[in-house]
Amino acid sequence: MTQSTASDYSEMINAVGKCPIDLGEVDLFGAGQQEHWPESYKILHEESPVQRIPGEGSTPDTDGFVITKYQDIYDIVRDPQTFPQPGFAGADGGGTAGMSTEDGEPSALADAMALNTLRPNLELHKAHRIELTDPWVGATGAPRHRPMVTKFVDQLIDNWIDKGEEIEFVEDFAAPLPQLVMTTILGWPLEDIDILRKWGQAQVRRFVYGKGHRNIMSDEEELENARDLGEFMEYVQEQVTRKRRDPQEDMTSFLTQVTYKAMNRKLTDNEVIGVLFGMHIGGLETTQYAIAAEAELLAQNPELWRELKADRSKIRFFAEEGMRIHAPTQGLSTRMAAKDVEIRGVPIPKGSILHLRYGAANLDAEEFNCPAEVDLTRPNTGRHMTFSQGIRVCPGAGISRLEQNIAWERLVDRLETIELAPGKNDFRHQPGIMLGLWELHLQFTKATG
Amino acid sequence: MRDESDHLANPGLGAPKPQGDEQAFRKPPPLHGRESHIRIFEGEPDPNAKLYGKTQISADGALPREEHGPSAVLKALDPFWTRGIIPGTSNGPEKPADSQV
Repeated sequence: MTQSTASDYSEMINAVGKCPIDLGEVDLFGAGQQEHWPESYKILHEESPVQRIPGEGSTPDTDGFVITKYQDIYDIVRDPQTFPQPGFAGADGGGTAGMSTEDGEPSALADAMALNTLRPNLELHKAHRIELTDPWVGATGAPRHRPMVTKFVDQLIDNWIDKGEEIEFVEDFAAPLPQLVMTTILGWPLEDIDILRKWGQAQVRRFVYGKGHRNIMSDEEELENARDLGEFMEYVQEQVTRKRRDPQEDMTSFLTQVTYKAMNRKLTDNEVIGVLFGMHIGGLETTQYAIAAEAELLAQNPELWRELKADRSKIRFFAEEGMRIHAPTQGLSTRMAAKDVEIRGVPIPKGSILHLRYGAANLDAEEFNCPAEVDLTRPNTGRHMTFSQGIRVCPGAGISRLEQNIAWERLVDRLETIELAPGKNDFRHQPGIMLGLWELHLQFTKATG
Repeated sequence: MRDESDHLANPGLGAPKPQGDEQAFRKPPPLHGRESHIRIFEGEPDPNAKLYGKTQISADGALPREEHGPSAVLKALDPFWTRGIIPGTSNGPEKPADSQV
């Protein structure tokens, strides 16, 4: 995400947080604390693996809880009946749990959304994935995009490989790659890339500049964001209309034409837009952050770079380790307790919101030995929580993995070395609950032959 | 910095009932042989509990009636992504002219 928005976020961006030395100093959502999350996770794992955030549950009289241990998150994401998504009709004990209005009355709007969404329950959630998204971005459908992704990777490298020996890797590679890939998969015009990027940033703005575990923005910020998203929705509607009229080989056309077997009908425009909205938000910044973080790891570890050059089959293990150590989405408050539960002795009443800290689970020494180290031989390399797990595992994990693997296959082929550009990197990350490098200056030498 | 001095206490209205060993609970299965640290108190089944939401499954393949306009689109989205941008409600900043909410 670029730093230019109408709202002034300079204070958040420039904040410097103190590295915590004990539990009293841990505040995952404090200004500048994103630079100290690994240290915070270690303290939380040892002293407060279930941390209560008073008054920040689904209603003002309930609480939020930050969950950091791998096993606890594993258990939670695999039990969607007990720990449903707030606001979904599948959240029993009241279909609108988590979406109440300020006066405590259930929101009719939440019911309407649950009614209109294609995934109002677990059964349809599964069908939605299998029928609608897996064929394009899931593990089964993504591999067919290999030629297209490879083409874009090489084009991006071509842009700078002969122009010097230094690049700003985020802007020159990590950011444009997922944008090009997703725009192509969706079947939208590549000449719209710049405005699509702006809208993509609006989609994730609350996760960067929103406050606390619920990513709350001010009314002014919400208004600004709603304007951008309104424009985006109008654009997507235009694409849907165009593809209904003249379908091509792309995901938007597919969604306008497919008969959704789970509902025995075709999809409405709004339903198609709903799916596309999710694809666009999920397919951009997270993959960008992963590729940038992996570049940082390689630039800091020449031996690791040489290892990949010597054996390309290790690239897929490296990508998994990169995603594990620097999970792009560090945490989300996307689960609630639909029943009274107790985790590690901490009572969690029904209605509480759970903030699942995937980035902390990935650094849990009880699950991953020496968790901060890149180990390409880990027996459980792929079992990280970066894409979550269970029925709500990230639907775009397949395409993200493909992009990361092809990126490193081609970069390792075409570059002899990469290293950090001296004196140019501060390694700062954007605020919020995502872990994204603002920039990464690298020096490189071109491979010969 | 957060006040964790009353870490185990929970003053919310949804505070759980006392949970002694006598209260029935279930646990997720072990992971790699490690016992789960989660206890789920099932309680009495709620006859009004809505396990599944309504769907628009069609018997004849016909499309459901569809609203149009930005607010109608918002309703089709995953509610997680639309917090705060629902026009015309306490969740949203303003009600646009074409709102049908």
